[in-house]
Parts: sequence; C-alpha cells; structure tokens
Amino acid sequence: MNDTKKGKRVFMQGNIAAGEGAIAAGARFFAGYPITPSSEIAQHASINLPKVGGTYIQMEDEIGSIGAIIGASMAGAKVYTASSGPGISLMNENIGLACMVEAPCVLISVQRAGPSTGLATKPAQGDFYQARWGTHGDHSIIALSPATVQECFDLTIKAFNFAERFRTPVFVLMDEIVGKMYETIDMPDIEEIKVENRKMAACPPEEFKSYNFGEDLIPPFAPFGGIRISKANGSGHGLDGYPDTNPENYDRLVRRLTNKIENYKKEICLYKAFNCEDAEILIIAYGCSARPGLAAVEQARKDGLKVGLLQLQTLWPFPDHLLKKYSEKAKKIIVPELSLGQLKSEIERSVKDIPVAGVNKVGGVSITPQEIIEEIKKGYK
Amino acid sequence: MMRYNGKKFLKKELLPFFWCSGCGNGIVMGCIVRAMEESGFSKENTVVVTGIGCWGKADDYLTTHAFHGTHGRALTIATGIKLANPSLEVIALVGDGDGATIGGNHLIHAARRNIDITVIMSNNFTYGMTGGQYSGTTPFGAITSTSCYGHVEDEFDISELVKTAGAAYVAKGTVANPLQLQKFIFKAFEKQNGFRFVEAMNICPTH
Repeated sequence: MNDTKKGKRVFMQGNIAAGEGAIAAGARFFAGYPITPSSEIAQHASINLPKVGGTYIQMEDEIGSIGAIIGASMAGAKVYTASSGPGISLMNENIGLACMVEAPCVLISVQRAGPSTGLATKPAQGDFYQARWGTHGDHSIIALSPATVQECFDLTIKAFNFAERFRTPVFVLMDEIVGKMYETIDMPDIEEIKVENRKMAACPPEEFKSYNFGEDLIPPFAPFGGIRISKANGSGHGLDGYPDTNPENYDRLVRRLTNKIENYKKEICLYKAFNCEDAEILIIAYGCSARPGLAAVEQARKDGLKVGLLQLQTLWPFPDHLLKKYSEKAKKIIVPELSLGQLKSEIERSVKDIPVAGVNKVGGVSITPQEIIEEIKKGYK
Repeated sequence: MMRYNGKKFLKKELLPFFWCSGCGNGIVMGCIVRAMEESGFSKENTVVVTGIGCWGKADDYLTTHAFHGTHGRALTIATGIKLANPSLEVIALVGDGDGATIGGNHLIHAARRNIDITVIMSNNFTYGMTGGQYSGTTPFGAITSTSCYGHVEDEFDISELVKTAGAAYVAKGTVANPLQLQKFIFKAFEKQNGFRFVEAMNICPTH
C-alpha cells in the first residue's frame, strides 16, 4: 500500500490513509497497543515502517506506547502512536510529559462510543475534551480532525508538521466512521508533499541549553547522542533542563508552553467553509458529523434556504476567530455531533449572541442529513 | 578497579547529593560513575533515564544526556530511546516503588523483550520520598507509615522475577559492599547485549 512515491488515485481505508500520511510525513517510529477501531494503523505501521528503515514496537500497554514514542522522539525520531479513547485515557499521564519535555509526537485517536469500554465498534465524538484536557495541568495542545479519507492522509501530514514545528504532541482525532470508511483519494507525488522538521540547535555545544528559546518560544532541538548534552525533564526545570522550583521560573515555563501554540492559532486553525458567506443558519461540525452537515446544506440550498457549513479541521486550539468571522450573518448555529454537546458548549463559550442548537446522538450511530434538516426547519429558535 | 573515580560524569557544582545522611544512593551513584568510566562510556553517548522518587533525582547530578520522566515509566522511555538510536548506552535508574511496583509491568516486559538496556534498581524497600509507605518489595510484617500494624502482604524478590522474565544478566548487590556492587554494574555494562538488571539493596535511614 506504500505507493506514495508517485501521484495516483487510490481506494483506501481512513485508518490506512492516516498510516500512509504518517510515513509520507517522515514518521519512522511507531509504538502502540491494539485497540478497536484503530488497529489497522498499527498493522500498517508494522508492515510498512520496516520497508523505509523505520521501527515498529508493540508495547505492553498504552502507557508504555506513549513512553516509547516520547523516548524515541527525544532521540531524534519522528514518532506516532494510534489508539482510541480507552487507550488515550491510559496515555494521558505521559501526554503531559510530552508537553513538558517538548517531545514532538502524533497521537492518532480513532473515537469510539464511551465512557469506559462502551461500544468498541461504534462511532462517537465524545473525546473532544479528552484531547484538550485529558492530561492534568495547564498546557496547550493541537488536535486536527478529518472528515474524509483524503483528509485522514492530508491532516496526518499536517499533524506531523505541527508537532515538529511546535515541539508538541498533536492529536489526529478521527472517529470510527472516518477511520473504517473506504474512499478514493489522491495520493500526491512524494516530492510535492511539504514536510517540516524540528528546528535543530546549532550553537557551540558548551553554550547549549535544552530549553533555551528564541522569539518563537520554541527551543531548538538536540537529540540524545549528539555533541550537545540534552536534558529532558518532566519536572519543573530551568532553561538548562535541570530542576528549578522557583515560582517565577515555573510561571514562565507554563505560560511559554501555552503561548508557543496559542500565539500561532491563526496558522494552526484549518477549516473548510461551504456556503458560509450569506448563511443565516450556520452548521458547525467536524469529523463524521461534517458529512451529514454538508448533505443538509446541499438539500437546504435546493430548498432556497441560506444554510452553510463550517467544517472545523482544527479543534484545538479552538478557532474562536473563525467562528466570529463566519457567523457574522448567522441567526442560528446548529452543531451536529456524536456527543451530548461538547463542541456545542465550546461554541457557546465563544459565540455569545447567537442561539446554538445541538443535534446530538450518543447511541453509536451516525447523524443523518434529515435530522439536521429538521433542526433547520425549526427556524431561528 | 579503584583507579576510576568517575568524576567526569558528576556535576560537581550540584554536589553534595540531596539524599538523607545514611542513605545508600550516593554509594550506588559512585559505583555507577566509576563503572561507566571503566567501561569507557562518554557523556555524549550515554543517556540516563530516571523515574520519580528519591532515586529518580539521580540524573540531576550527571553530565550525560538524561531524561527525567514519569513515575514507573522510565523503562518505556528507555526502550524508545534505545530503539531509535541503538548506538547509545541507555541506563535506567529506578527505585523499588518506581520500577518494581507502579512500573512492574514495564519491568517484566522489558526483561522478556531482552532489550539492550541496563537497569540499576536502588531497592530501599519503601517509598522514601512520599514518607515511608510500603512498596512491592517491603517485607511481610514490616512496620511502615501505611502498615503500622505490620505489613500483611508478601514481597517480590525482584531479581528472581526479572531473571524469570528473561533478562540476559541479573545481579543482586548491596550498598554495604560497594566494590562488589561496582563489579556487578561494570559486568552489566560490559555485557553490551540484552536486558541487564542490577539490584542494589539499599536502606532508608529516615523511614
């Protein structure tokens, strides 16, 4: 399946497309633990990484998986893992570690119905806040979410580029529908794919400090094993990576970890806008729920209704600025999602003067275009 | 053996160690840095991975590459580092609470994989940093801050466990015999391949 050397059209599964995107982005290390509905990504990695000189390891659990990718990342590898909500729950401790030591890594989470084991084979979008706040403590994080198999490929590449550039964990927050779905996608020529790599330290070794940063707030990277001695530290640390519990230092550190991402929000926030210019009813959705959202827009436009869809491809940092821009003419916002209103509550926090209606299902089945159209027909209530 | 002092691996400006008077961790540190020098390690080619606890502070005093990670997870991080760059000497320093209790599953699986890393466990049979609670190696009947009527559980013989799990090299020394302990660590370094585990039996004079 690893046919990205030359551009072509391929019929493939969303999970596989994410795996192809990872390898195309230069990923060479995967550590994981099997879990439905993400397991194809691990299988794809185990088959294809050895072909490009990469490494696959199946760890004893998800805690081990993320530990291994963080270690490999700090040794210089481009790394990823794949899981679903229950596995991400186990990873959460070390997601904070990745934030703190500033280890670039991509976490592909294929959402299924929770809480707990829930419905292992059924879709959900209940991990919207898990991606943002699953790990403890103040931090920022990036989460991208594909709605098509093409986007599984494209956004996984973007995820690696963001992870490398900002030295941070990046989620690719998929769902069972998008992950298991087959569609035809355009695989670009490998030379045409824009790949970003982390900024490397270039100072004299004796001057190197692991967390010394410049204007962009992102410390240049030095891998383990290099001439610049690297200290990764999950506890409070100074610029040199050695422990520092001074309140002013720690305040500075936590603010920098947040601002190094939030300052670049406009570049990070990816989206697609369908018929939004004159939309009086704006549907805002991501992932699998953007698909019935688009179908509802097409039907409503045929009926002469001014309805548009804002499909969020970046969920975190939350794109408040896009909501403001695209809801200027809106008299109502409709948020279809496979949760009881996680995205909706974030939109309500962001847009205060427009009524927001949810179309919510948590039974493990998709929302239909008709269910959204019913909400559209209720008018501006 | 004693012609090696290991000082080039110690951050002299950060000494003395923060460990309590009477703690054996400093003795284990001395054995490690001397064995590193004897084995010809360089600070550029060595990564020391630690977890959390008193012994988890060990990397603070070293001039090598270091990763101070999360409680119990040092071996997972060490596994990733070694696989990403097999030319590195990867040493994990774990305690008994860290390595044998919360990280016990990672320990037995790393031993089963027989991955090429050296683990040095400072086993003081208690959680020292959090105030002397019982760990997975605390002996039956022991009085600790959370077993004040006597510990009702049996303890792991952690070296036996790691041996059974498939490690290439297992040695059990004590801070009461530093020369022997240093020899065990040196032998572990010299072996180069496979999972190497040295248990340094220690004491906690505070708890």
